[in-house]
Amino acid sequence: MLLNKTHKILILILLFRLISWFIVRTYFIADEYWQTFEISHLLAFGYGYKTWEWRSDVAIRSYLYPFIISLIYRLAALFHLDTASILINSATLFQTFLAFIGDLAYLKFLHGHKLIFLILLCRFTCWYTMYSSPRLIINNLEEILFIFSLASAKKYD
Amino acid sequence: MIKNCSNDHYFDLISSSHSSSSNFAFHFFVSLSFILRPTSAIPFVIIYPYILYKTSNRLRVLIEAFLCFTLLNLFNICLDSYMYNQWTFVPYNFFYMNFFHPNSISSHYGINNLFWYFTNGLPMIFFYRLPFIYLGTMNSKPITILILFTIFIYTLNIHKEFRFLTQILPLLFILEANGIEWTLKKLKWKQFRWIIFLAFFVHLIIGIYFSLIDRQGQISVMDYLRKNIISKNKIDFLMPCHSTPYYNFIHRNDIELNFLTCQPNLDKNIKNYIDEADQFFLKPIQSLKQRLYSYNSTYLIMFDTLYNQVKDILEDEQGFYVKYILFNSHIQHTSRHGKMIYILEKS
Repeated sequence: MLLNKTHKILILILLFRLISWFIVRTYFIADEYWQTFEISHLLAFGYGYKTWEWRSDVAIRSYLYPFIISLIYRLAALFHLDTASILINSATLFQTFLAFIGDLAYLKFLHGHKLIFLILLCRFTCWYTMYSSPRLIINNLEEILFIFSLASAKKYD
Repeated sequence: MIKNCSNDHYFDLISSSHSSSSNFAFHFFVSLSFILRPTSAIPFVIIYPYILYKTSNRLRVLIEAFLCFTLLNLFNICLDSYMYNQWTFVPYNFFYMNFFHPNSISSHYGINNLFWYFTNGLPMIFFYRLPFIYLGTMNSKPITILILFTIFIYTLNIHKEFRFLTQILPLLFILEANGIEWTLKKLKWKQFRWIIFLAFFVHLIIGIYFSLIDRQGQISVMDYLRKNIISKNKIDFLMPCHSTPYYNFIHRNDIELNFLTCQPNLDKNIKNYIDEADQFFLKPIQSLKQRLYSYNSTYLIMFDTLYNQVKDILEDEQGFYVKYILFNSHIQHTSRHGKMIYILEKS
């Protein structure tokens, strides 16, 4: 098979993301479960716990992200695939997919940079990249969208 | 030589808009990010003026940004208002709660010192690789300014977490690479390259350890409950609030879950407020008796730290016995967390 360098890097990154999705089985931060998982579950199945952040007289979180995850849950329920482990793993796989799209944008942003390989090496060997990226933490989305905006700002010239 | 590895020109690419081609995508991503978490606008407080300064068509950039921002926010106001059942603009509530609420809500989740991001936050992400970032700041000023500004704004909030740095990680890795490149040039590349690769490798081991092992019990306890508890049972999590996932990880509504809550003081009239979890851990034995009486739980979940304090009452007086013990972590994260998780059943 003839693969050029970029393809090889992309396959390695994809592999890294999938391994990370597969091995992350630990607790990190309450917000992952209580601000995303739990709210998505409530939207899709009608039961779940709403913390004070979601009270209508407080309302300091947008429903956008849990709403998107709840669509995945509804799809799973449609095919009677809504076991807890399928729900959890499909949501984190979705997040992993977003992280990979973010990686593509990061490559685009760094394209032409002298140290691109070293920067990628720094990113993908950082313990936090592996630990955090498949988790449904809003900060991960922030990072991905930040990369998107940097990459699209490059088009300005 | 050092000048060559500068990536100042890199940052310029972002802002050198000499052509007047429109860039809705850029404004779209910034606005979407703002909707999801308003604080993500912080770096753009610098980036937007820079773009305006460099561009040849300021009015057009402004109009496009305004249109994008307004339309997306309108869409989100509709979604949130529908979900909350009343007119809701989340970013306004977010800023009010975090910065202007009289009870200083965010301090409820911990107060950290002024330089926390430099003494704790960044070291937690980079460990021994942090010096490379400091070295990397030498030859990439624009990126450094952007990072320092973002961290400075985050510093204004008394509650600090290292995950808040996630957004600027893509820039921090550029600094780190710059620092490594500079070091290798200074120290002669061939001699020290293996140390750098070893440094990378050890980080991966740390990543695997925290992903797979540290605090695994707080997740696997939910698997245990899902598979082993028959319906109509009442489970009480006597742990620091939100120490485990909840209904999503059980996906059954035939068992009742309760936990020690830790809602901040939202009432301006109440002074000396103590949340439920804090109150419980002040006098665990007394609180436990009261709680068992009012909730009538059939299962209790707790860390070894609490179990050791209350086991006599539970086993002799209340008729609970240890059904299962799960490994949680080698590191004890706080005095109320523990290395083991106990699952107790009422006999």
